[in-house]
Amino acid sequence: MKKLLATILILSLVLTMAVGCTSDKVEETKSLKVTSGLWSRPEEQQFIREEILPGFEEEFNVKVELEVIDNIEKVMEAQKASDEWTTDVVMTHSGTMPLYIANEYVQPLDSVKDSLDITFMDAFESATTQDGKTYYLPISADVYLLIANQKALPYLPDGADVTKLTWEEYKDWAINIADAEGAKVSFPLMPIKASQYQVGGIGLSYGSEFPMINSPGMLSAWELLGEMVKNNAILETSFNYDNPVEQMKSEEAWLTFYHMVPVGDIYSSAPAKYVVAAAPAGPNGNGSIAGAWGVGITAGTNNKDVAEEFIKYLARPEVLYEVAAGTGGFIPPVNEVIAQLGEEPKDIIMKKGLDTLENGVVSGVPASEYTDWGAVKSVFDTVFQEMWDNDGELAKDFLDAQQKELEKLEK
Amino acid sequence: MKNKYKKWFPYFLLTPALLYYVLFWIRPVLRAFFESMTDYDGSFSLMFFSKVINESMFTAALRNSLLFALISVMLQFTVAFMMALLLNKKFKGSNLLLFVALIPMAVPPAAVAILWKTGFSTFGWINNLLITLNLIKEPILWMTAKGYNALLFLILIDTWTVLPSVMIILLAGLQNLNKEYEEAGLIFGASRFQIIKDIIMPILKPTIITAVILRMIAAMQVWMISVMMFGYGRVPFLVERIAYYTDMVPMLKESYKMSLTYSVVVTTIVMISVMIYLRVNKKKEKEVRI
Amino acid sequence: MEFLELKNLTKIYQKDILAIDKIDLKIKDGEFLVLLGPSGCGKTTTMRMIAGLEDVTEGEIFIEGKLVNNLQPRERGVSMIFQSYAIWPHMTVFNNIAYALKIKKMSKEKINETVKKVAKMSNIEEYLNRYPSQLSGGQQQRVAVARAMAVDPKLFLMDEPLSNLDAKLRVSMRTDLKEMHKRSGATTIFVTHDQSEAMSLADRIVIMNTGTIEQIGTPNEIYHDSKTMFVADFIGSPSTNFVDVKIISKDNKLFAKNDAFELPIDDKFNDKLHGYIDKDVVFGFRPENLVLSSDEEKLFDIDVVLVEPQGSHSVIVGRLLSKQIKIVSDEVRDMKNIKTLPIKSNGIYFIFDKETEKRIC
Repeated sequence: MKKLLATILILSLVLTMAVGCTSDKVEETKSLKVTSGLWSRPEEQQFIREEILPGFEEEFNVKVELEVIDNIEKVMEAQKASDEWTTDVVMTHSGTMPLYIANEYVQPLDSVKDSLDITFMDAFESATTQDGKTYYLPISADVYLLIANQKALPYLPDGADVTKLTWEEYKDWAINIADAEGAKVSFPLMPIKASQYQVGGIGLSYGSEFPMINSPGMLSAWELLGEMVKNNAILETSFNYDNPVEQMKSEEAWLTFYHMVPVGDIYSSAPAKYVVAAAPAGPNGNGSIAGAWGVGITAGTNNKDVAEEFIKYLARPEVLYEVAAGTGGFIPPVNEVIAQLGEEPKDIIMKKGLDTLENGVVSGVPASEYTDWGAVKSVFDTVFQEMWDNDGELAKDFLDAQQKELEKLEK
Repeated sequence: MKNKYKKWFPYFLLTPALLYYVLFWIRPVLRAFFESMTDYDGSFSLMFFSKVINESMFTAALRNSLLFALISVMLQFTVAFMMALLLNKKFKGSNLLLFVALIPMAVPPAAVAILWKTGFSTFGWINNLLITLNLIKEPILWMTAKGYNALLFLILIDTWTVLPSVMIILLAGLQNLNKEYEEAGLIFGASRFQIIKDIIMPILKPTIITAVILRMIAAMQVWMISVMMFGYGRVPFLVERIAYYTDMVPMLKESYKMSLTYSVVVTTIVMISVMIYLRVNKKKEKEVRI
Repeated sequence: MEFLELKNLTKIYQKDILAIDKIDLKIKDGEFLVLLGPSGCGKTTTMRMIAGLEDVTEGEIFIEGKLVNNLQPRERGVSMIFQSYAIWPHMTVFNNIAYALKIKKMSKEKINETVKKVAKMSNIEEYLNRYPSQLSGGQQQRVAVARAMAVDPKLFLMDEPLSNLDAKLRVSMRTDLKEMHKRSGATTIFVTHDQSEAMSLADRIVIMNTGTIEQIGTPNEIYHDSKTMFVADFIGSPSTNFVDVKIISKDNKLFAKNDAFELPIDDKFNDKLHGYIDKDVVFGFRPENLVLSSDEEKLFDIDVVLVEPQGSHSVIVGRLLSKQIKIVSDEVRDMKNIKTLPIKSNGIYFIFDKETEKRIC
C-alpha cells in the first residue's frame, strides 16, 4: 500500500512539472516585461493589470508582465553589467532620467514619438531629451495645486479671486483666517519629505530657480512664509505630517498648497466642501515644482517592436486619460487629453493641473545633479526650523550659510 | 581511526552554524569596526568617531537613547511585573485578560505607529475620547511635544507595544514558581508586599534579569517610533542617526562610514550597559538554585 | 472550650466540585491529631482551610473560641511544615528560620538566640550558613521543622512532612516529631495517607474519605472498634477481610451463613441483629482474628495461594469462595505443599450493614 501511494505521488509530481514546462511552448504569444517605479500602491497596480493591460494584450496578442519596484536603478545597472536585458519597457521619474540616459540604460525613441499625432507639453523636455534625441515619453505628471475649505472663502481679501490668487493675497488670506479662527494653514514640514517643494513653488513664482536658498526669489518666498509664521497662520502640527490629507479632511486645516495627488484625495472625499485652483502666482507666474514619469525602451531589449507598440498604445489620449484617472490623479502632459476631461472631481483636478503645466512656471526635481537629494532636503528643513524658532525671522547670514551648504552638495 | 574522528565530530557538527555566523555576523561586524576606524583611503584614523561625537545631534541622540532605555525599562518592568502577578492568580476572566493584554504583541511596529499617529492627531480618537469624557475642553496638541515631553510621549507608545512581551517572560517565571514558597511566607507573617519583595523577586531573579536585559538592549536601539511620529532628526536617537545616514542621505560621501561608526558606538554602549547590569546582579546568582 | 473547632465546614470548588462536606471536628488543646485518608479525601484541604490558605465556602473555624474565617494566615498564630518543605532557596538556613522573627521585629540578639535554640533541637546547628540546595532531603526537612518551631505557635500544622523521605529516615523523624510535640505541648495537626505513621503518632486519628469524616478516635479505637467498612479496610495491614453472609435464625439462635460456612453468632448481638434476619450483611475478619484450626474445629477451608513468612509471623494468602483472604498467624508450620487449610474464627469480628457500610456490631 505504501509503495503504491509513493508511486502515485511521484507520478503526479512529475506530471505537474511536465505540464508546467510544456505550457510555455504551447502558447506562441509574444511577451513584454515592463519594469516601473510608478504605481507603487497595490490598488494602482491592480488597476493597470485589470483595466489597461488587457486591452493591449488582446489587440496585439502579447502577454505583458508588469513589475513595480522601488529601486529600478540597481536593476538597470545589473542588466547592463550582465548584458542580460529582461526588461523591455521601463518607467522612471523625471528626476532620474538624465542619469539613465547618460548610463545608456535606455535607447532613443524618436521614431515612436514622430509617429504619434499628439503634442507633449515641453515642461519636461530637459529631462526626457538629450542631444536632440528623445528617450522618454512623459505620460504621468504632477504639479502642486491649491485647495481650500469653503469655510475659508469668507476670509478672502477684498477683490481676490480664489481661482486667480497672488501669493500676497494667499498670505493675507491665511492671516485673516488666523486672526479670527486660529492657525488654519497646513504646510507639511516632516523632515526630509516635501517642505522644499512647497517653498520652491513659491520661489519659482518670484523668479527663483530650484533649488536655491538665498536667491532674490527665495528671499521673497521666505519673507512671505515668515510673515505667516509670525501671525500664527501656519499650524504647528504641520511638523508631524508629510502631506495635508488628514489635517484637511478633519478640518484642522482649511488651506494648503500641495502635490496634486493628496489634493485629489482630499477633494474627491467631499467635492462640495472644497475649492481647488491652480497654484497662486507671483510676479513671474504660477510657480510649481513638477515631476513626471515617463516610458522608455531599454537599451538591450529583445522585443523592440513590441515595446514600441506598447508605448504607442499608452500614448493614445483615451488610454492616457484612463491611466491618469484610475491611478491616483496624475496628469498626462498632453494637450489632446484636455478634450477627454469631464466634470468629475478627478477631472477638475486634472484640468487645474494641466493649466499649471501649460501656463505656469514649473521646474522639475534635479536630484541627479546633487550627491544626495536627502541632504538637500535637510538644508531646507534646517531653514524652516530656524524660521519657526525665530518667529518668522531669518537672518541674511544664516541664509547665505545654508546656500553654501546647498552648493557643497552639488556634483 | 575511529577515535580520531570521534574527537573532531562535535566540531564538525558545529561547522554549518559557525560558517553562518562568520559570514553573516562576524564579517559585517569586523567590517563595521574597520570602516569606523579608517579614513577613506583605508589608513587608520579615528576621525569618524570624532565626527560622530561632534555632530550637532549626537549629544541629544545619546541622551535620548540612554534616558529612553533607563525610564522605559523601569516603567515597563514595574507595570509588566504587576500585571504578571495579577494574571498569575487564576481568577474568573483571567484568561480573557491575558488575551487582551497580549493583543499589542500581535500588531506590527509600523501599524502601531499609524495607530498612535492617527490617535494622537488633533482630531484623533484620543482627543475625542478625552473630550467626550469631559476631561479636557480643547484638543491637546500631543505631537507638538518637544524635548522631554516628546521623549515621554514615545516611551508611553513604546510601553504599550512592548509590555506584553516583558509580561509574558515574567509570567512564565512566576508560573514555574512553587506556590508553597508564597504560602510559607503567608504563614510566617509576611504581608503581600513583603512576599513580593523578599520571596518572589529574589527567586525570580534569573527570569527578571533576562527580561530586563532583553528590554535594555531593545530600548537602546529604538528609532522607528520617533521617525514615524516626528520625522528624522526631531527627537534623535542613536539608531535613528544610523537610519538617517543609511536611508535618508545614503549618497553623501561620509554616510556609509558615519552609519557604521554610529553602529559601533551603539554596540559598545549596549555591551557596557549589559555588563554593568550583570555585575550589579552578580552577588548571589551562583547560589540560587531552584 | 476546645482549642480548635470546625463547625459544618464545607468547601466547594468552581460551583460544583464538593471537596469537603459539612464536617464537624473538635480538637483539644495540646493534642496530636492526625488527619488520615487516601489521596483526594480532603485532609490537606481541611488543613489548608484551618491555616487560612484556602477560603471557606460554608461553615466556621474557631481557634481558642475566636472565629478565624476571615483572618489572614499570619493572624491565626499557626505554623506549618509543607510537604515540599518550601524552604526559601535564596536564603541561608539561618535566614529561613529567622525570617518570621524579623518580621515580628524581634531584636537581633533574641533572633540569634531563638534560631540557635531551634536549630539545636532539630540537629541542624552546623548548617546554619548553608543554602537549601546544599542540603540533603532529610536536612531540609529538619530546617522546615526548625522554622516552624521558631515562631512558637499555638497550632502546628504538618502537611505530609515525611512523605518525601526514604523509609528509614521517615521512621526516625517520626520519633523526633513526637518528641518535639511533647516538649512544646502545642496542639498539632498532622496530615498523612500512611496509616502506620498515623497509628504511631496520633493521640487521635480523624479518618476522612471523599470530603467526609468516617471516624474519629484513638488508634486503638480506630483499629479495634472500626465504625465503617472503609475504616476497617483502611486501617490494619494486611487489611480486614470482608465476607458476604446472610443472617438466619435457627431455634432462636442467629447464624451467619454463606456457601462456605455457617457461623454461630454470640447471643449478645441478638438485639442489634434483630432487624437483619434473612438479610445480607458483610462480616469483617481482621487477619489475626482468623486462626489455623483442625478439620474437626474448622469453620471453613481456604485454598492456599501463597504464604509470606515474615519471621515473627506469616501471612497466608488464600481464597474463600473465589475471594482473596489474608490470614496472619504466628504458628510455625511447614506450609510448603499445603493446598488447603482449615480455618476458624477466634470470635472477634465486625458485622456491617451491606448498604450503609456502617458497623452494626
